[in-house]
Amino acid sequence: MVDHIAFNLFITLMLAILIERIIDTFKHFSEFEKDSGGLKNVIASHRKNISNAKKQAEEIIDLYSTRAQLSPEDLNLQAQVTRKQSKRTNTTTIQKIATATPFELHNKIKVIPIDHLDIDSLRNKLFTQIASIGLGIIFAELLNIRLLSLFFAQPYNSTLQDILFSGFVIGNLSYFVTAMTNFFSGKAITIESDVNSIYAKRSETQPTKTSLKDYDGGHNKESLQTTNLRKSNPIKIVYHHTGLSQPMHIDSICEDLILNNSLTYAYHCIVLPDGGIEYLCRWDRASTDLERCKDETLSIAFHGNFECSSDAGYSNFKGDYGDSTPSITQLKHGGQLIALWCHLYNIPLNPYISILPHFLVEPTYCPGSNFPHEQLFQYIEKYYIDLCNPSERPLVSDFKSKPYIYCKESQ
Amino acid sequence: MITDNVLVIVSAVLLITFFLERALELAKNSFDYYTAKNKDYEKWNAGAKEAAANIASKIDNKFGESFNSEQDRINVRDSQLISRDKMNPKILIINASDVRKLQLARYIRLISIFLGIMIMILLDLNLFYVISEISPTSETHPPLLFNTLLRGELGIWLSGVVIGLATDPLHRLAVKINKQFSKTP
Repeated sequence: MVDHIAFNLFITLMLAILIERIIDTFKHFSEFEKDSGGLKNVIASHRKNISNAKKQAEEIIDLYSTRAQLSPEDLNLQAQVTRKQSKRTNTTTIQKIATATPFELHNKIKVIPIDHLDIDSLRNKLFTQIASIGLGIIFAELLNIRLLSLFFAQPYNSTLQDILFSGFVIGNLSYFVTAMTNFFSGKAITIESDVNSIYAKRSETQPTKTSLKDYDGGHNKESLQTTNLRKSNPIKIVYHHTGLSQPMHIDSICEDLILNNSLTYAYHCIVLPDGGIEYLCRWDRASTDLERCKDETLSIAFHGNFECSSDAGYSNFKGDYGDSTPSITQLKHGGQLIALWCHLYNIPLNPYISILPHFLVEPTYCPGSNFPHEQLFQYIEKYYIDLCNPSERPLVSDFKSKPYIYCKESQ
Repeated sequence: MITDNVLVIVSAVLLITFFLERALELAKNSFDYYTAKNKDYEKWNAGAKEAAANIASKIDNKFGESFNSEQDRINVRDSQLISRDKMNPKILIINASDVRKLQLARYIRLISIFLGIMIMILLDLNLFYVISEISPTSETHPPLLFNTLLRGELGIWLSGVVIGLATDPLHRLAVKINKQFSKTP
C-alpha cells in the first residue's frame, strides 16, 4: 500500500514541477511583452510619481508658506516662541506638523494609512494560483490521480470532489517547487555576497572626512576657469541622492559622477554618511546634472540610495546599497551647507520652491522615496537661524571673501 | 505494518492541512485583490486610528511621559502594531496595513478551525480513533481516553481543530521558505 501511495505522490510531485515550469514560461512571455512597451510604462510610472510628489509638496508648502515669507529676524523670534510653547505643551515640531496632516496624531502615535495596494502584483499572484489549480485539475483528470481515494479508500473514487481536491493539491504544490528551485539555484545569495565583499574592500581605504569650512573650489577648479560659467549667482538649491552604494570609496564615487568625460561633476558637493563633505565643483560654476536649469542652481547630493520602491530601477528595497535613509549627521551637515548657501546667495528659505528635491525638476525617483524631506527642512531652518546670530556671522563673512564663490558678473 | 499505517496517516493529515492552508491563501489573495480593486481601505484606516487612540489613551492614563514605561506596559498585541519612527525614535507609529494583517490573521485562524472541522466531518476521519487503533499498547492496555470519549463525534471535531490550528505553522513555514529563497521580492 505504501508503495502505491509513494508512487502516486511521486507522480503528483512531477506534475507539480511540470505546472511550475509552464507557469514560469508563461510569466517569461508576459514580462517580455511588458518590456516591449517599456518606454511607455516608464513614462507613465514617472508621471504617476511626479503627480504624487506634487500632491505631497503642495500639502507641505501649505504648512511652510506662512513661515517662508518671514525675514531671518522674524524666524528667530518665531523659533524662540515655538521653543517656549513646546516646553509648555511638551510637543515637538514634527508632532505639530503631523497633527496638521489629514491623519492626525493621537497624542504620541502617528497613523500611517493604507493609500494603495499593488493591484498588479496581487492580480498576478491570484492569476498564478488559479492557473496552477486549473492545470492541476486537468492533469489530475487526465492521469487519473485520486488522492482522496488513495488515502481514504473507496468512497471518493472517481468523484468530482476527489478530482478537484487532487487538482488543487497538485496545482498548489508548484508554489513549493518554485521555492525549492530557487533554493537549489542559490543565485541571489551568491550575488549579494560578491557585492558586499567588493564594497568591503573598497571601504577599507576611505579617507578622513572634510568639514564645511574646508571648501577651496573642489576638484578641477583651475580647469573650469573658462568653462561652465554662470550668468548670475544661483537662485535655487536642488538636493539629490547619489544612488550609489554607501561603502563605496570616494574615488569611485567621483569617477561615477564625472559626466561625459568632462571636467565638471554632476553635483557641487556630496555629503557622506559620516557627515564629511566632498566638494566636487566650484560654486561659481554650473554643475552638469540638470540640463534645463543648471545655470541657476546649486546641487547637493546625499551619498546613498534612498529609493525603496520595488518597481524603480536601482532601487535599494533589499538594502544592497547600504542604509535606506540618510544618517542624522548626514542630514545635519547637509542642512548646514544649504543654510550657508541661502545666506551667501540670498536664496529664500522656501521648501519645495527655492530648495527642492530633484524629482520636482526632472522625472526621476531622486532623492528616493525614503528621503526625510521634512527633517532636512527643519535642520536647514535651524542652521539658517543660527547663522543669523552674531557669533556665527564670521563664518558667512569668511565664505563671502573666499574665491570660487560668486560669479564675476555679480561681483 | 504499524509504521506503514503511521506513515499513511501522517501523509494524509499533512495533505489535508496543506489543502486547507492553500485554500485559505487563495481566499486571502482574492480578498486582497477585491480590496485593492475597490480601494476599500477606509475601514482599515479607521481601525488603525481607533487602535492608535486606544493605545495612546493607555499610555497617557497610566504611564506619564516616561519612554521606557510605555514599552513595559503595553500588551503583546499592541507591541505587534507599534513601531518607532526611524528618524525620531520618540515618535510611535501605527501602520494601518499591520492592523489589517493582524485582524485578517485572527479571522483566518477562526475560519481554518471551522473548515478543519467541516473537512473532518465530511471525510469522517477521527485522528484519535486511528491513533488508538494503531497504538502498540491498544491490545494490552487500551488507552481509556482514546477508547471512550474520543472515539465518537468529539474525536472528529477535535481532529478538525488540530488540522485547523496546524495550518498556521505550515503557512509560516511556506512563506519563510519562499521569502528566503525567492529570486524576486
